Amino acid sequence: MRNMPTLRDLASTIRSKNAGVDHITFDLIFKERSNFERVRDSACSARSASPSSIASRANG
Amino acid sequence: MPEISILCPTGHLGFTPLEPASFRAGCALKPNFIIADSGSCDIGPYPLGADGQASPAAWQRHDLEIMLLEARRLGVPMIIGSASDTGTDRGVRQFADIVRDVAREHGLAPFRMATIFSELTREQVLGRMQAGTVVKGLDGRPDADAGLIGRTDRIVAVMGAEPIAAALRSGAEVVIAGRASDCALFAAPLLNAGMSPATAYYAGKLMKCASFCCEPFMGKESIFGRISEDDIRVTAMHPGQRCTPASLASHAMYERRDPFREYVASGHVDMTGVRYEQWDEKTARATGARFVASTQPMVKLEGAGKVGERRLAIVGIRDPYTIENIDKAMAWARARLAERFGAPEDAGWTVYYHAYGRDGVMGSLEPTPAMRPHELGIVVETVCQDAKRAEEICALAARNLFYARLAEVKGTAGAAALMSDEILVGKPGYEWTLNHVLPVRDASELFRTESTVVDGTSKKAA
Repeated sequence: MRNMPTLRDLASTIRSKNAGVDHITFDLIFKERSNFERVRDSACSARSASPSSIASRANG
Repeated sequence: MPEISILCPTGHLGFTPLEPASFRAGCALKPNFIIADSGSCDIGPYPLGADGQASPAAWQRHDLEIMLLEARRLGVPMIIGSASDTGTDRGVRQFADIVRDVAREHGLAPFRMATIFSELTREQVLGRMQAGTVVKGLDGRPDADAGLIGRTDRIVAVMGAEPIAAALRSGAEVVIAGRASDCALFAAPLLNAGMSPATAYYAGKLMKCASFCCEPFMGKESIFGRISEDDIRVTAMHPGQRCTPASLASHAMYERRDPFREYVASGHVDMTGVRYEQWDEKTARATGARFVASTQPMVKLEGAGKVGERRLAIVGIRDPYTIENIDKAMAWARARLAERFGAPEDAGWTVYYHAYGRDGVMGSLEPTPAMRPHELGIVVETVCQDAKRAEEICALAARNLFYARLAEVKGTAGAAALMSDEILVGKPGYEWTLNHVLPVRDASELFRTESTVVDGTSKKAA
Protein backbone atom coordinates (compact mmCIF):
# COMPACT_ATOMS: atom_id res chain seq x y z
CA MET A 1 0.00 0.00 0.00
CA ARG A 2 2.77 2.38 -0.93
CA ASN A 3 0.42 5.08 -2.21
CA MET A 4 -1.83 5.16 0.81
CA PRO A 5 -1.96 8.70 2.20
CA THR A 6 -0.75 9.25 5.73
CA LEU A 7 -2.39 11.35 8.44
CA ARG A 8 0.18 13.97 7.58
CA ASP A 9 -1.36 14.28 4.11
CA LEU A 10 -4.96 14.45 5.32
CA ALA A 11 -5.00 16.39 8.58
CA SER A 12 -4.12 20.07 9.01
CA THR A 13 -3.19 19.73 12.68
CA ILE A 14 -1.68 16.70 14.40
CA ARG A 15 -0.69 17.30 17.99
CA SER A 16 -0.41 15.92 21.46
CA LYS A 17 -0.62 18.13 24.53
CA ASN A 18 -1.04 17.68 28.24
CA ALA A 19 -4.50 18.64 29.42
CA GLY A 20 -3.96 19.76 32.96
CA VAL A 21 -1.71 17.63 35.12
CA ASP A 22 -3.26 14.18 34.70
CA HIS A 23 -4.10 13.75 31.01
CA ILE A 24 -2.61 13.77 27.55
CA THR A 25 -4.75 14.66 24.54
CA PHE A 26 -4.21 13.68 20.92
CA ASP A 27 -5.92 16.00 18.43
CA LEU A 28 -6.34 15.58 14.69
CA ILE A 29 -7.95 18.52 12.90
CA PHE A 30 -9.16 18.27 9.30
CA LYS A 31 -10.09 21.12 7.00
CA GLU A 32 -12.12 18.89 4.67
CA ARG A 33 -15.00 16.81 5.97
CA SER A 34 -14.16 14.06 3.45
CA ASN A 35 -10.69 13.66 4.93
CA PHE A 36 -12.12 13.56 8.44
CA GLU A 37 -14.63 10.87 7.47
CA ARG A 38 -12.03 8.89 5.55
CA VAL A 39 -9.75 8.71 8.57
CA ARG A 40 -12.62 8.12 11.00
CA ASP A 41 -13.89 5.19 8.94
CA SER A 42 -10.51 3.75 8.00
CA ALA A 43 -8.45 0.98 9.49
CA CYS A 44 -6.55 3.67 11.40
CA SER A 45 -9.49 3.78 13.73
CA ALA A 46 -8.93 0.15 14.64
CA ARG A 47 -8.50 -0.18 18.35
CA SER A 48 -4.84 -1.08 18.16
CA ALA A 49 -3.86 2.31 16.81
CA SER A 50 -6.72 4.59 17.66
CA PRO A 51 -6.36 7.75 19.66
CA SER A 52 -8.91 6.48 22.14
CA SER A 53 -6.87 3.40 22.90
CA ILE A 54 -3.79 5.51 23.44
CA ALA A 55 -5.79 7.97 25.51
CA SER A 56 -7.18 5.23 27.69
CA ARG A 57 -3.67 4.05 28.41
CA ALA A 58 -2.50 7.60 29.04
CA ASN A 59 -5.32 8.09 31.48
CA GLY A 60 -4.96 4.70 33.06
CA MET B 1 -23.73 47.14 23.49
CA PRO B 2 -20.21 48.40 22.82
CA GLU B 3 -17.53 46.46 21.03
CA ILE B 4 -14.49 45.77 23.19
CA SER B 5 -11.07 45.18 21.67
CA ILE B 6 -8.29 43.23 23.36
CA LEU B 7 -4.64 42.82 22.39
CA CYS B 8 -2.86 39.67 23.57
CA PRO B 9 0.89 39.44 22.87
CA THR B 10 1.83 36.14 24.52
CA GLY B 11 0.32 32.95 25.87
CA HIS B 12 2.81 32.70 28.73
CA LEU B 13 4.40 36.00 29.65
CA GLY B 14 8.13 35.66 30.25
CA PHE B 15 8.51 32.02 29.20
CA THR B 16 10.32 33.24 26.09
CA PRO B 17 10.38 36.95 25.17
CA LEU B 18 7.34 38.29 23.27
CA GLU B 19 7.80 39.61 19.73
CA PRO B 20 7.57 43.41 19.82
CA ALA B 21 6.80 44.07 16.12
CA SER B 22 3.38 42.39 15.97
CA PHE B 23 2.57 43.76 19.45
CA ARG B 24 3.22 47.30 18.27
CA ALA B 25 1.12 46.64 15.16
CA GLY B 26 -1.70 45.66 17.52
CA CYS B 27 -1.18 48.77 19.65
CA ALA B 28 -1.59 50.88 16.51
CA LEU B 29 -5.19 49.60 16.37
CA LYS B 30 -5.80 51.13 19.82
CA PRO B 31 -7.07 48.19 21.84
CA ASN B 32 -9.28 48.82 24.88
CA PHE B 33 -7.30 46.30 26.96
CA ILE B 34 -3.88 44.62 26.89
CA ILE B 35 -4.02 41.18 28.48
CA ALA B 36 -1.66 38.26 29.00
CA ASP B 37 -1.47 35.21 31.16
CA SER B 38 1.88 34.31 32.72
CA GLY B 39 1.30 30.92 34.24
CA SER B 40 0.75 27.31 33.46
CA CYS B 41 0.79 23.89 35.03
CA ASP B 42 2.63 22.74 31.87
CA ILE B 43 5.91 23.63 33.57
CA GLY B 44 5.42 20.84 36.12
CA PRO B 45 4.99 20.95 39.88
CA TYR B 46 8.49 22.15 40.82
CA PRO B 47 7.99 25.94 40.51
CA LEU B 48 4.76 25.90 42.54
CA GLY B 49 6.05 23.51 45.18
CA ALA B 50 9.39 25.28 45.63
CA ASP B 51 7.80 28.72 45.08
CA GLY B 52 10.28 29.44 42.33
CA GLN B 53 9.82 30.52 38.76
CA ALA B 54 10.30 28.82 35.41
CA SER B 55 10.98 31.99 33.43
CA PRO B 56 14.15 34.10 33.63
CA ALA B 57 13.46 37.37 35.45
CA ALA B 58 14.99 39.35 32.56
CA TRP B 59 12.37 38.02 30.12
CA GLN B 60 9.52 38.66 32.53
CA ARG B 61 10.69 42.23 32.83
CA HIS B 62 11.14 42.50 29.05
CA ASP B 63 7.52 41.52 28.44
CA LEU B 64 6.04 43.55 31.31
CA GLU B 65 8.02 46.64 30.31
CA ILE B 66 6.89 46.58 26.67
CA MET B 67 3.27 45.94 27.66
CA LEU B 68 3.13 48.47 30.50
CA LEU B 69 4.69 51.29 28.48
CA GLU B 70 2.20 50.77 25.63
CA ALA B 71 -0.75 50.40 28.01
CA ARG B 72 0.10 53.65 29.78
CA ARG B 73 0.82 55.44 26.49
CA LEU B 74 -2.61 54.35 25.19
CA GLY B 75 -4.24 54.94 28.58
CA VAL B 76 -5.83 51.46 28.69
CA PRO B 77 -5.84 48.81 31.42
CA MET B 78 -3.28 46.01 31.43
CA ILE B 79 -4.27 42.68 32.98
CA ILE B 80 -1.71 40.00 33.88
CA GLY B 81 -2.71 36.67 35.39
CA SER B 82 -0.91 33.78 37.11
CA ALA B 83 2.02 36.06 37.84
CA SER B 84 5.51 34.60 37.52
CA ASP B 85 4.50 31.15 36.20
CA THR B 86 2.66 29.91 39.28
CA GLY B 87 0.55 32.77 40.62
CA THR B 88 1.80 32.40 44.18
CA ASP B 89 1.93 35.44 46.46
CA ARG B 90 5.65 35.66 45.72
CA GLY B 91 4.87 35.83 41.99
CA VAL B 92 2.28 38.59 42.44
CA ARG B 93 4.69 40.67 44.55
CA GLN B 94 7.53 40.09 42.10
CA PHE B 95 5.47 41.31 39.13
CA ALA B 96 4.13 44.28 41.12
CA ASP B 97 7.75 45.19 41.94
CA ILE B 98 8.68 45.00 38.25
CA VAL B 99 5.74 47.27 37.39
CA ARG B 100 6.85 49.81 40.02
CA ASP B 101 10.44 49.56 38.82
CA VAL B 102 9.53 50.12 35.16
CA ALA B 103 7.23 53.01 36.13
CA ARG B 104 10.06 54.64 38.09
CA GLU B 105 12.63 54.09 35.36
CA HIS B 106 10.38 55.64 32.73
CA GLY B 107 8.87 58.31 34.99
CA LEU B 108 5.31 57.10 34.32
CA ALA B 109 2.47 59.29 35.56
CA PRO B 110 0.49 57.88 38.53
CA PHE B 111 -1.81 54.92 37.89
CA ARG B 112 -3.79 52.57 40.09
CA MET B 113 -2.55 48.98 40.39
CA ALA B 114 -4.52 46.10 41.91
CA THR B 115 -2.78 42.97 43.11
CA ILE B 116 -4.96 39.90 43.65
CA PHE B 117 -3.55 37.13 45.84
CA SER B 118 -4.70 33.54 45.44
CA GLU B 119 -2.40 31.46 47.63
CA LEU B 120 -3.99 29.37 50.38
CA THR B 121 -2.31 27.93 53.45
CA ARG B 122 -2.66 24.26 54.32
CA GLU B 123 -4.47 25.35 57.49
CA GLN B 124 -7.08 27.25 55.47
CA VAL B 125 -7.84 24.19 53.36
CA LEU B 126 -7.78 21.82 56.34
CA GLY B 127 -10.08 24.19 58.24
CA ARG B 128 -12.67 24.03 55.50
CA MET B 129 -12.34 20.26 55.31
CA GLN B 130 -12.84 19.97 59.07
CA ALA B 131 -15.95 22.15 58.72
CA GLY B 132 -17.35 19.53 56.37
CA THR B 133 -16.35 20.78 52.91
CA VAL B 134 -15.26 18.02 50.54
CA VAL B 135 -12.20 18.95 48.45
CA LYS B 136 -13.14 16.93 45.43
CA GLY B 137 -10.56 15.20 43.22
CA LEU B 138 -10.51 15.97 39.49
CA ASP B 139 -9.63 13.59 36.67
CA GLY B 140 -10.25 10.48 38.76
CA ARG B 141 -8.20 11.57 41.77
CA PRO B 142 -9.58 10.69 45.18
CA ASP B 143 -10.97 13.50 47.35
CA ALA B 144 -8.37 15.22 49.49
CA ASP B 145 -7.67 14.02 53.01
CA ALA B 146 -5.48 15.46 55.76
CA GLY B 147 -2.56 13.28 54.67
CA LEU B 148 -2.62 14.71 51.15
CA ILE B 149 -2.75 18.27 52.43
CA GLY B 150 0.14 17.41 54.76
CA ARG B 151 2.25 16.32 51.78
CA THR B 152 1.55 19.63 50.02
CA ASP B 153 4.10 22.42 50.23
CA ARG B 154 2.15 25.13 48.43
CA ILE B 155 -1.42 25.69 47.29
CA VAL B 156 -2.97 28.20 44.90
CA ALA B 157 -6.66 28.68 44.19
CA VAL B 158 -7.54 29.38 40.55
CA MET B 159 -9.69 32.49 40.26
CA GLY B 160 -12.41 33.12 37.73
CA ALA B 161 -13.22 36.56 36.34
CA GLU B 162 -15.01 37.87 39.45
CA PRO B 163 -12.11 39.35 41.49
CA ILE B 164 -10.47 40.78 38.34
CA ALA B 165 -13.71 42.37 37.16
CA ALA B 166 -14.17 43.91 40.62
CA ALA B 167 -10.63 45.34 40.56
CA LEU B 168 -11.29 46.93 37.16
CA ARG B 169 -14.59 48.36 38.36
CA SER B 170 -12.84 50.01 41.27
CA GLY B 171 -10.51 51.80 38.88
CA ALA B 172 -7.44 49.59 38.50
CA GLU B 173 -5.42 50.39 35.39
CA VAL B 174 -2.98 47.57 36.01
CA VAL B 175 -4.11 44.24 37.46
CA ILE B 176 -1.54 41.70 38.62
CA ALA B 177 -3.45 38.55 39.48
CA GLY B 178 -2.32 35.39 41.20
CA ARG B 179 -3.35 32.03 39.77
CA ALA B 180 -6.27 32.58 37.42
CA SER B 181 -8.08 30.67 34.72
CA ASP B 182 -6.44 32.00 31.57
CA CYS B 183 -9.79 32.81 29.98
CA ALA B 184 -10.94 34.74 33.09
CA LEU B 185 -8.43 37.53 32.43
CA PHE B 186 -10.20 38.26 29.15
CA ALA B 187 -13.68 37.59 30.49
CA ALA B 188 -13.37 40.18 33.29
CA PRO B 189 -13.55 43.37 31.16
CA LEU B 190 -16.12 41.79 28.82
CA LEU B 191 -18.42 40.95 31.74
CA ASN B 192 -17.98 44.51 33.03
CA ALA B 193 -19.11 45.72 29.59
CA GLY B 194 -22.34 43.78 30.05
CA MET B 195 -21.58 40.74 27.90
CA SER B 196 -22.78 37.27 28.82
CA PRO B 197 -20.45 34.81 30.56
CA ALA B 198 -20.75 32.68 27.39
CA THR B 199 -19.25 35.37 25.17
CA ALA B 200 -16.82 36.59 27.81
CA TYR B 201 -15.23 33.26 28.77
CA TYR B 202 -15.37 31.87 25.23
CA ALA B 203 -13.50 34.91 23.90
CA GLY B 204 -10.92 34.31 26.60
CA LYS B 205 -10.60 30.65 25.74
CA LEU B 206 -9.94 31.55 22.10
CA MET B 207 -7.47 34.36 22.80
CA LYS B 208 -5.50 33.19 25.82
CA CYS B 209 -2.55 31.67 23.94
CA ALA B 210 -2.06 34.60 21.52
CA SER B 211 -0.77 33.48 18.09
CA PHE B 212 -1.30 29.77 18.83
CA CYS B 213 -4.87 30.24 17.53
CA CYS B 214 -3.55 31.32 14.12
CA GLU B 215 -1.67 29.56 11.34
CA PRO B 216 1.04 28.70 10.47
CA PHE B 217 2.37 27.79 13.93
CA MET B 218 4.17 30.70 15.61
CA GLY B 219 4.56 31.53 19.28
CA LYS B 220 4.77 34.90 21.03
CA GLU B 221 3.11 36.92 18.26
CA SER B 222 0.19 39.22 19.02
CA ILE B 223 -3.47 38.72 18.20
CA PHE B 224 -6.22 41.33 18.24
CA GLY B 225 -9.78 40.49 19.30
CA ARG B 226 -12.91 42.53 18.63
CA ILE B 227 -15.73 41.26 20.81
CA SER B 228 -19.40 42.11 21.14
CA GLU B 229 -22.21 39.88 22.38
CA ASP B 230 -22.02 36.50 20.60
CA ASP B 231 -19.61 37.92 18.04
CA ILE B 232 -15.89 37.27 18.52
CA ARG B 233 -13.46 38.24 15.76
CA VAL B 234 -9.79 37.36 16.16
CA THR B 235 -7.11 38.82 13.88
CA ALA B 236 -3.49 37.72 13.49
CA MET B 237 -1.06 40.61 13.86
CA HIS B 238 2.03 38.94 12.40
CA PRO B 239 2.32 39.59 8.64
CA GLY B 240 2.88 35.88 7.99
CA GLN B 241 -0.04 34.57 10.04
CA ARG B 242 -3.80 34.27 9.51
CA CYS B 243 -6.60 33.40 11.88
CA THR B 244 -8.85 30.86 10.13
CA PRO B 245 -11.90 28.81 11.14
CA ALA B 246 -9.64 25.73 11.35
CA SER B 247 -6.96 27.45 13.43
CA LEU B 248 -9.48 29.04 15.80
CA ALA B 249 -11.55 25.88 16.19
CA SER B 250 -8.38 23.90 16.72
CA HIS B 251 -7.35 26.22 19.50
CA ALA B 252 -10.76 26.01 21.16
CA MET B 253 -10.01 22.30 21.70
CA TYR B 254 -6.45 22.89 22.85
CA GLU B 255 -5.24 21.12 25.99
CA ARG B 256 -8.66 19.94 27.09
CA ARG B 257 -9.84 16.45 27.85
CA ASP B 258 -13.34 17.50 26.76
CA PRO B 259 -12.98 19.66 23.63
CA PHE B 260 -16.43 21.18 24.05
CA ARG B 261 -16.27 22.40 27.64
CA GLU B 262 -14.19 25.00 29.40
CA TYR B 263 -14.62 25.03 33.17
CA VAL B 264 -14.25 28.10 35.37
CA ALA B 265 -15.21 28.75 38.98
CA SER B 266 -18.78 29.78 38.19
CA GLY B 267 -19.66 27.16 35.58
CA HIS B 268 -18.56 26.05 32.14
CA VAL B 269 -18.63 27.25 28.55
CA ASP B 270 -20.46 24.83 26.28
CA MET B 271 -18.86 24.96 22.82
CA THR B 272 -21.00 22.23 21.25
CA GLY B 273 -22.90 24.61 18.98
CA VAL B 274 -20.17 27.09 18.07
CA ARG B 275 -19.57 28.19 14.48
CA TYR B 276 -16.43 29.52 12.88
CA GLU B 277 -16.21 31.54 9.68
CA GLN B 278 -13.57 33.47 7.77
CA TRP B 279 -14.28 37.17 8.33
CA ASP B 280 -11.45 38.72 6.32
CA GLU B 281 -8.03 37.61 5.14
CA LYS B 282 -6.48 37.56 8.61
CA THR B 283 -9.59 37.31 10.79
CA ALA B 284 -11.85 34.45 11.84
CA ARG B 285 -15.19 34.92 13.60
CA ALA B 286 -16.68 32.68 16.29
CA THR B 287 -20.26 32.61 17.55
CA GLY B 288 -22.68 30.33 19.35
CA ALA B 289 -21.15 29.51 22.74
CA ARG B 290 -23.41 28.81 25.72
CA PHE B 291 -22.64 29.10 29.41
CA VAL B 292 -23.88 26.65 31.98
CA ALA B 293 -23.71 28.17 35.45
CA SER B 294 -22.93 25.74 38.26
CA THR B 295 -25.31 25.61 41.19
CA GLN B 296 -22.41 26.30 43.52
CA PRO B 297 -19.09 27.95 42.57
CA MET B 298 -16.24 25.44 42.53
CA VAL B 299 -12.73 26.86 42.73
CA LYS B 300 -9.92 24.71 41.43
CA LEU B 301 -6.96 24.15 43.74
CA GLU B 302 -3.46 23.36 42.54
CA GLY B 303 -0.95 22.02 45.02
CA ALA B 304 2.55 20.59 44.85
CA GLY B 305 4.64 18.73 47.38
CA LYS B 306 8.25 17.66 47.54
CA VAL B 307 9.09 14.03 46.83
CA GLY B 308 12.85 14.14 47.21
CA GLU B 309 16.24 15.24 45.95
CA ARG B 310 17.13 14.44 42.35
CA ARG B 311 20.40 13.38 40.75
CA LEU B 312 21.06 12.60 37.09
CA ALA B 313 23.66 10.75 35.03
CA ILE B 314 23.95 10.19 31.28
CA VAL B 315 25.09 6.85 29.90
CA GLY B 316 25.62 5.91 26.26
CA ILE B 317 25.33 2.33 25.03
CA ARG B 318 26.89 1.37 21.69
CA ASP B 319 27.54 -2.37 22.06
CA PRO B 320 24.93 -4.14 19.88
CA TYR B 321 24.57 -7.08 22.27
CA THR B 322 24.00 -4.82 25.28
CA ILE B 323 21.49 -2.75 23.31
CA GLU B 324 19.59 -5.91 22.43
CA ASN B 325 19.60 -6.93 26.08
CA ILE B 326 19.21 -3.50 27.63
CA ASP B 327 16.22 -4.58 29.72
CA LYS B 328 18.31 -7.35 31.24
CA ALA B 329 21.14 -4.90 31.90
CA MET B 330 18.77 -2.51 33.67
CA ALA B 331 17.20 -5.33 35.66
CA TRP B 332 20.64 -6.52 36.74
CA ALA B 333 21.56 -2.97 37.77
CA ARG B 334 18.32 -2.56 39.71
CA ALA B 335 18.83 -5.85 41.52
CA ARG B 336 22.28 -4.76 42.67
CA LEU B 337 20.84 -1.44 43.85
CA ALA B 338 18.21 -3.23 45.92
CA GLU B 339 20.89 -5.45 47.45
CA ARG B 340 22.86 -2.45 48.60
CA PHE B 341 20.18 0.11 49.45
CA GLY B 342 17.13 -2.02 50.21
CA ALA B 343 13.96 -2.48 48.18
CA PRO B 344 13.00 0.89 46.67
CA GLU B 345 9.47 0.94 48.08
CA ASP B 346 10.72 0.18 51.61
CA ALA B 347 13.89 2.25 51.53
CA GLY B 348 12.41 5.31 49.82
CA TRP B 349 14.37 5.66 46.63
CA THR B 350 13.42 5.59 42.95
CA VAL B 351 15.54 5.10 39.84
CA TYR B 352 14.24 5.91 36.37
CA TYR B 353 16.13 4.76 33.27
CA HIS B 354 15.00 7.01 30.40
CA ALA B 355 16.14 5.13 27.28
CA TYR B 356 16.33 7.74 24.53
CA GLY B 357 16.52 6.01 21.16
CA ARG B 358 13.94 3.46 22.35
CA ASP B 359 11.13 4.96 24.43
CA GLY B 360 12.70 7.86 26.30
CA VAL B 361 9.98 10.25 25.14
CA MET B 362 6.79 8.23 25.49
CA GLY B 363 7.80 5.55 27.95
CA SER B 364 5.22 2.80 28.27
CA LEU B 365 2.91 4.66 25.86
CA GLU B 366 5.34 4.17 22.95
CA PRO B 367 3.43 2.26 20.25
CA THR B 368 6.41 1.54 17.97
CA PRO B 369 7.82 -1.95 18.53
CA ALA B 370 11.34 -1.88 19.89
CA MET B 371 13.93 -1.81 17.11
CA ARG B 372 17.61 -2.21 17.53
CA PRO B 373 19.15 1.26 17.24
CA HIS B 374 22.90 1.56 16.80
CA GLU B 375 23.15 3.52 20.01
CA LEU B 376 21.04 4.34 23.06
CA GLY B 377 21.30 7.34 25.34
CA ILE B 378 20.14 6.55 28.84
CA VAL B 379 19.37 9.30 31.30
CA VAL B 380 19.55 7.87 34.79
CA GLU B 381 17.33 9.81 37.20
CA THR B 382 17.28 9.15 40.93
CA VAL B 383 14.89 10.55 43.52
CA CYS B 384 15.51 10.09 47.23
CA GLN B 385 14.82 12.11 50.38
CA ASP B 386 18.48 12.39 51.28
CA ALA B 387 20.71 14.23 48.80
CA LYS B 388 23.89 12.27 49.54
CA ARG B 389 22.08 8.97 49.23
CA ALA B 390 20.44 10.13 45.98
CA GLU B 391 23.92 10.85 44.62
CA GLU B 392 25.28 7.47 45.66
CA ILE B 393 22.30 5.60 44.26
CA CYS B 394 22.51 7.52 40.99
CA ALA B 395 26.22 6.77 40.64
CA LEU B 396 25.67 3.07 41.16
CA ALA B 397 22.59 3.00 38.90
CA ALA B 398 24.73 4.47 36.10
CA ARG B 399 27.93 2.51 36.71
CA ASN B 400 26.06 -0.75 37.05
CA LEU B 401 25.02 -0.40 33.40
CA PHE B 402 28.74 -0.34 32.69
CA TYR B 403 29.30 -3.46 34.76
CA ALA B 404 26.12 -5.30 33.74
CA ARG B 405 26.72 -9.04 33.68
CA LEU B 406 25.11 -10.38 30.53
CA ALA B 407 25.62 -13.95 29.38
CA GLU B 408 27.40 -13.34 26.09
CA VAL B 409 29.15 -10.03 26.44
CA LYS B 410 32.43 -10.33 24.54
CA GLY B 411 34.07 -7.25 25.91
CA THR B 412 35.96 -7.21 29.18
CA ALA B 413 36.17 -3.45 29.64
CA GLY B 414 32.59 -2.45 30.36
CA ALA B 415 29.61 -2.09 28.03
CA ALA B 416 28.62 1.53 28.54
CA ALA B 417 30.13 4.91 27.70
CA LEU B 418 29.52 7.52 30.37
CA MET B 419 29.07 10.91 28.75
CA SER B 420 30.93 12.25 31.72
CA ASP B 421 31.63 10.32 34.89
CA GLU B 422 29.80 12.75 37.13
CA ILE B 423 26.49 12.94 38.86
CA LEU B 424 24.49 16.01 37.91
CA VAL B 425 22.47 17.84 40.53
CA GLY B 426 18.83 18.18 39.50
CA LYS B 427 16.20 20.40 41.03
CA PRO B 428 14.28 18.62 43.80
CA GLY B 429 11.46 16.40 42.59
CA TYR B 430 7.89 17.53 43.31
CA GLU B 431 4.52 15.96 42.59
CA TRP B 432 1.13 17.49 41.90
CA THR B 433 -0.68 16.68 45.11
CA LEU B 434 -3.78 18.79 44.49
CA ASN B 435 -5.75 18.80 41.27
CA HIS B 436 -9.03 19.30 43.07
CA VAL B 437 -11.98 21.63 43.39
CA LEU B 438 -13.21 23.38 46.51
CA PRO B 439 -16.89 24.34 46.68
CA VAL B 440 -17.40 27.92 47.92
CA ARG B 441 -20.34 30.23 48.60
CA ASP B 442 -18.89 33.15 46.68
CA ALA B 443 -16.52 32.76 43.73
CA SER B 444 -14.38 35.63 45.09
CA GLU B 445 -14.12 34.59 48.73
CA LEU B 446 -10.70 32.91 48.52
CA PHE B 447 -8.98 35.88 46.88
CA ARG B 448 -7.48 39.02 48.45
CA THR B 449 -7.20 42.25 46.49
CA GLU B 450 -4.91 45.15 47.38
CA SER B 451 -4.93 48.45 45.57
CA THR B 452 -2.13 51.00 45.38
CA VAL B 453 -1.19 54.01 43.31
CA VAL B 454 2.07 53.64 41.40
CA ASP B 455 3.70 56.98 40.80
CA GLY B 456 6.72 56.76 38.53
CA THR B 457 7.46 60.46 38.94
CA SER B 458 7.75 60.64 42.73
CA LYS B 459 10.85 58.52 43.34
CA LYS B 460 12.63 60.13 40.44
CA ALA B 461 12.25 63.51 42.09
CA ALA B 462 13.46 62.14 45.42
